[in-house]
Amino acid sequence: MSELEYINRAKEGDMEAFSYLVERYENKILNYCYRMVGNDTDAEDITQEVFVKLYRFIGSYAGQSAFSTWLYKIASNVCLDYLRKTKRHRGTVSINQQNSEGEEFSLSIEDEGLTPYENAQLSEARLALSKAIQALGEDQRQVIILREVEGLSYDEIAAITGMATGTVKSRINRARLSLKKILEKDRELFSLS
Amino acid sequence: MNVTCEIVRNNLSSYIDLELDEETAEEIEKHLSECRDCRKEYEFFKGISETAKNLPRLSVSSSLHDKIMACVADASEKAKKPKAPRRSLFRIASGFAAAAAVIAVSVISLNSLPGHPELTPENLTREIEKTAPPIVTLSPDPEQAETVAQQKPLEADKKNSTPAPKQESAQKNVESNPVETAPEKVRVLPPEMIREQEEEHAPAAASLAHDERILEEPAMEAEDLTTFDAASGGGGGSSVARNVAFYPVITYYVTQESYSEAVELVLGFEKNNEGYVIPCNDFSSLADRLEGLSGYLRDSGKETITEESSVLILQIEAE
Repeated sequence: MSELEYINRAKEGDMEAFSYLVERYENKILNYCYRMVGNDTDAEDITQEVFVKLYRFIGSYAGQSAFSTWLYKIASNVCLDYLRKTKRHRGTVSINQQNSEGEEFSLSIEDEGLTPYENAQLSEARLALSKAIQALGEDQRQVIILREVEGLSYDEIAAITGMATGTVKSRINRARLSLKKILEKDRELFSLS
Repeated sequence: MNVTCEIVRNNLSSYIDLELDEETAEEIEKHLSECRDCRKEYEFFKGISETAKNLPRLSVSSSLHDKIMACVADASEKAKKPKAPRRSLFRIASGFAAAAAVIAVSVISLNSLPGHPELTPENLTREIEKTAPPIVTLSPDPEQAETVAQQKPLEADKKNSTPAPKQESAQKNVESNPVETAPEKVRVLPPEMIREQEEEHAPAAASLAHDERILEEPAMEAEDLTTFDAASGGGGGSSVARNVAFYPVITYYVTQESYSEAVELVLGFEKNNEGYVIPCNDFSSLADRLEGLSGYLRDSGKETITEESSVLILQIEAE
């Protein structure tokens, strides 16, 4: 049975078909949410909310975009809502860094950003990058995760975010420049040579 | 850094993502093979990109799938229970639908009556009162329907009665927009059909389903309407039914964060200059979904003309 058939059955209230869709996408959505909000407990809660919303709104899916794109869109909205609602309540730690030009700049990193597992297991580069992604603003974080972590195309990101493809392109460029600025002192960790 | 280096660096991001045209990509590749500084910059970006692809991923715990499905089942159960806010949303919709239907039928009947070549406030009011009783049965709220039904004869007794606000508004629209569009099909139910449906459904039970059922029933065609008018004493002759009616524009206010989600919900509906054209029998399920976004509906105070029958015009505003 094709995915579209599962979707159509789920629209008609077939819970087995819906369960199949959940199984197919829960890993993607969980990890996207994890990178967006920065901790695994909240990511699981948000993933549940995403699929509840999917269940409620699946009837309005008209097939104009890929189902995965549509689902990422729901997930993006739920994550951004969550981040905006909890912004005031989350503790942050401020660290100072120097860029290559010697200018000092500060960034705020969520102190709950990484799991103990990640802290212990990650290579230095991945740890630094995970922190840097969390230090990005929500808009830049969203596009860099969709592009770099989830591997989506500019067109897919445009469909998810509702932005023009050109805007996506420039936002990804700015997000990379922000990451570069944050990671400048660890440049050698990311060298390919 | 020369001009070429600057151009190359501005395009490094797209180059890494393979989103450049072939010619530009080749030029950048050539420059990178010649310029050490730009190559170092490229390798830094590329290193970040490769690291991002290999960031550890959470694995879905065995309990997460069950939790998700339990939440979905819970949401499904809640959705089945009637909730006050959703009913209130639907009441707004059904109120508009009833008002629109009253006006639509009034305009149709008035135009189909011999000896009524002109629309005057008195004619319009009288015709609305004549045609209103069958439409009252469309109300989802039995109490509301009863109240309206009781009020109608009293209004009819007043010789110089002032038309209700909705009627006034309709009248203005009629005057400024002579109903001269091409005659087409009209969706209007005869009183017999409405009575049959009322007998099938208990008035207090499942009023929502009741309304939807009525609205979804096969509608009469324009030719049938002529017969209906003649049978009910409305006169026959060369009556021409019109499918022009006045429908209120309602606005759904929603937060900036949920705006795109709200728009997503109405994407499947036709959009005209005023807003999204929502068939009344689709509105209850749409209202249910919109409710999940914590916005609210308001009558915009405007009206529009549409050639569709039994529709609402819905606008979505972020606030």
